[in-house]
Amino acid sequence: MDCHDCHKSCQPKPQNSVWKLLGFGSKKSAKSNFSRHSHTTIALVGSPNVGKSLLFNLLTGTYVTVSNYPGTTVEVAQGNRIIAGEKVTFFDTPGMYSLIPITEEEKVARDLIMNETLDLVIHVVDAKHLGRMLNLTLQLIEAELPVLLVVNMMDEAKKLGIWIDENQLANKLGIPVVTMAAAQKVGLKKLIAKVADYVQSTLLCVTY
Amino acid sequence: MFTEGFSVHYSPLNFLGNKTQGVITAIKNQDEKIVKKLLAMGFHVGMQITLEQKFPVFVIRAGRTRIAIDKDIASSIKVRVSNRN
Amino acid sequence: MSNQLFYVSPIEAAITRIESLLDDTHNPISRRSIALLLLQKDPILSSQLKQEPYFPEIERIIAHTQEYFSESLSLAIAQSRHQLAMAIEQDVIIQPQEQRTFQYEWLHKLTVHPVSGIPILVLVLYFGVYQFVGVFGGGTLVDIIEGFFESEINPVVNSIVAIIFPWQVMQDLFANDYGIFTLGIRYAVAIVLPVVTTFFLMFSLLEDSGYLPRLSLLADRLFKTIGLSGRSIIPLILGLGCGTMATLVTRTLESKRERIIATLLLALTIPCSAQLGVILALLSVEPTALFVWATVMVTIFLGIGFLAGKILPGKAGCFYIEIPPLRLPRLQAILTKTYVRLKWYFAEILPLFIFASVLIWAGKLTGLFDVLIRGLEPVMLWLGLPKEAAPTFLYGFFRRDYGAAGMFELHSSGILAGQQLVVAAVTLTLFIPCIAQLQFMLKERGVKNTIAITSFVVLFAFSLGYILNQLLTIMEVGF
Ligand SMILES: Nc1nc2c(ncn2[C@@H]2O[C@H](COP(=O)(O)OP(=O)(O)O)[C@@H](O)[C@H]2O)c(=O)[nH]1
Ligand SMILES: [Mg+2]
Repeated sequence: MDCHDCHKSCQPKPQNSVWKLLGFGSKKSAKSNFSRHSHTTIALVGSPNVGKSLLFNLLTGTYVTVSNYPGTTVEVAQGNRIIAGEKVTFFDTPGMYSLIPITEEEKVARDLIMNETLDLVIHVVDAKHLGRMLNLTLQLIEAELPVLLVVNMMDEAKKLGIWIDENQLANKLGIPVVTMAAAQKVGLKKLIAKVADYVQSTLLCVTY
Repeated sequence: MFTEGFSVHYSPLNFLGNKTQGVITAIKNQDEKIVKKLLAMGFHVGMQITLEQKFPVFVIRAGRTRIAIDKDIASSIKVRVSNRN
Repeated sequence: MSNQLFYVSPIEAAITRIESLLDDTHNPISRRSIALLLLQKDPILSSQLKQEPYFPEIERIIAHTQEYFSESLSLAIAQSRHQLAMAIEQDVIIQPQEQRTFQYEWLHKLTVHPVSGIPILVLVLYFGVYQFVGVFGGGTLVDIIEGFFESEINPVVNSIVAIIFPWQVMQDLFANDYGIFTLGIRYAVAIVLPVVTTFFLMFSLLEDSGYLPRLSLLADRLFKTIGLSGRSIIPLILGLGCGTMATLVTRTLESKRERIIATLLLALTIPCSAQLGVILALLSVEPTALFVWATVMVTIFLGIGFLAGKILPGKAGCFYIEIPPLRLPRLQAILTKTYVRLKWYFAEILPLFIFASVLIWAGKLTGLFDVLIRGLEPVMLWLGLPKEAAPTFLYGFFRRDYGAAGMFELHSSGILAGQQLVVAAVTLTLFIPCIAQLQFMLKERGVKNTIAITSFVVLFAFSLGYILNQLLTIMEVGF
């Protein structure tokens, strides 16, 4: 029974600012912190080990642990970056394969996207496993969440002789798509530009 | 659940030999959670897989993905063998 | 969207009907998506909506829809999604006919094949943990830094403090045997720092190379016998670095049962790196002692795991793990990660070291500690230990490594030797984890489980220490 309670009670206390250093999560529970936000909030979601945490580090400059095995990130981490003159808050989440969670750490990511109004959900996938991972993209689109797809690990895909048509994929899915190799920072500018587009368009929505 | 029977060409993954290639024909388990997990990880009916190793756990490769599963989970994947060596 | 995802008609019909039942609460996700989750029997949503008047109707719709399928609805839904996903992939991807294999494919084969994998595992543990963390970190580096403290820093601190504070009481707070500087900071810098640094370096290397999932694959069979799955080896190995961090990471385990067993094993049997470093350094001078300690620890690990697996309801968790490709770790990434973890570790423990020093000072001042220590002395004698070991156990409660470091001191001053050393090492390893780990057990496992685990650990540690001492005496094992 306390599986359910645990998730709430085990959010580290705010004083533990050291938490995010460890990479096991942010110091504040996402829940308590950003329900009433005025700025843009963006979550990075996707299967384990696709590079979400690495991308989060690049985007926010806040370090969370990056490792070559599933299950490194167990809590939501949060960090900011100014994009298009706006403060944008990013959330790094533990891996999740589908909207239906199996382990407790998967539940964390689902809770974030189900209970909070996010301005954008960035779904990070591994280019080597595109088809398999599009599953979750389809579920996110179905949920009518604002989704941006990042196809990461393009460097490894290239080594295997794989090439992905970014525009075609964006057309097929009807959402923006960015191909990247986060480890080499390839595609980061493009991603930030796309996010900037997004931030500006939501700003317009709010103003008018 | 044994409508497919134990015919060699239609067997649960855990009855197959090493290096067998085949196509998944069904994913069934008493425990719905295991089925959901397999589905979420991208296993589906019609998927081409190769059994790479059986001990200490089952290592299967589907395309570029490699996944290790225990016998319990392996037994819930039924496969039609397409090549055996 | 050009590629609208449609499911087979009974499911589409069910979606439409469920959608019409749902009221328009401000849900961030679409009603279609909610309907689909309900059809897949999503436990969280189901329990949320259980109270709604329309819920029985939804259940009827689900049951009715299920009649159309021989397989589960989840499977039918997933199947449609997979088909679309695969079709999209086909359209946008260009890949070679002949599939190229990954780099380091041969190495992968070696690491997962049981015949070559187990020797590799043993080598990794021997060189990574024993040689690098134990002998190099806990031995060589500790000696150098300790020596430096003993000869250069402590005398200076002692004399400076003596000048500033004329009162003995205040001098003892900062300096002398148990002072904040001379004990707290010294332990942290001289004993814990080198060991923890070498451990985190090694662990980061294992993490980034992708070896850990392969390790868990090899361990699965063994771990099934102790009620865990191969997955749990990752928190348990991390526990060799820091039990506190590891307790947090048990969250990645599937069932509550697994999380409790892993937490118990972490609290009872897994020595953290600070402790491990000191123990390895101490015992490695006497190989028999090291051997006995290791054998006892492994036996207890397996025995208690086995019993816990039998006693706790439920069955061993299922094991599945994606095996990522092996990668050549980048030095920069490893150094950053080690640095960040160290920073966390010290932010977390340094205050505790200082707190412990203050507490010990206050305890001594008020005479409370003397009472406690006197209370512990009979227990020490019962374990066959000298009564001077009592403070070590008491301080060991504040931090496990603190206790081990105290042992280091006892040994170098010749009080603790041979059989006593083994008994003390075993008892201290088993003894309650440090305050920080206790705090995280509370957070992760709740009060009830924590109290149960803690009381078990204390009782077990002392009883086992007693039995071990008797056994060693009877068998006349010489060290
Ligand atoms: N080659 C390559 N490796 C990457 C890339 N992005 C991430 N990685 C590596 O993939 C592993 C998983 O990254 P991580 O950020 O921890 O994934 P997460 O589980 O999704 O948070 C790490 O070893 C990263 O260094 C990339 O674009 N190319
Ligand atoms: Mg991560």
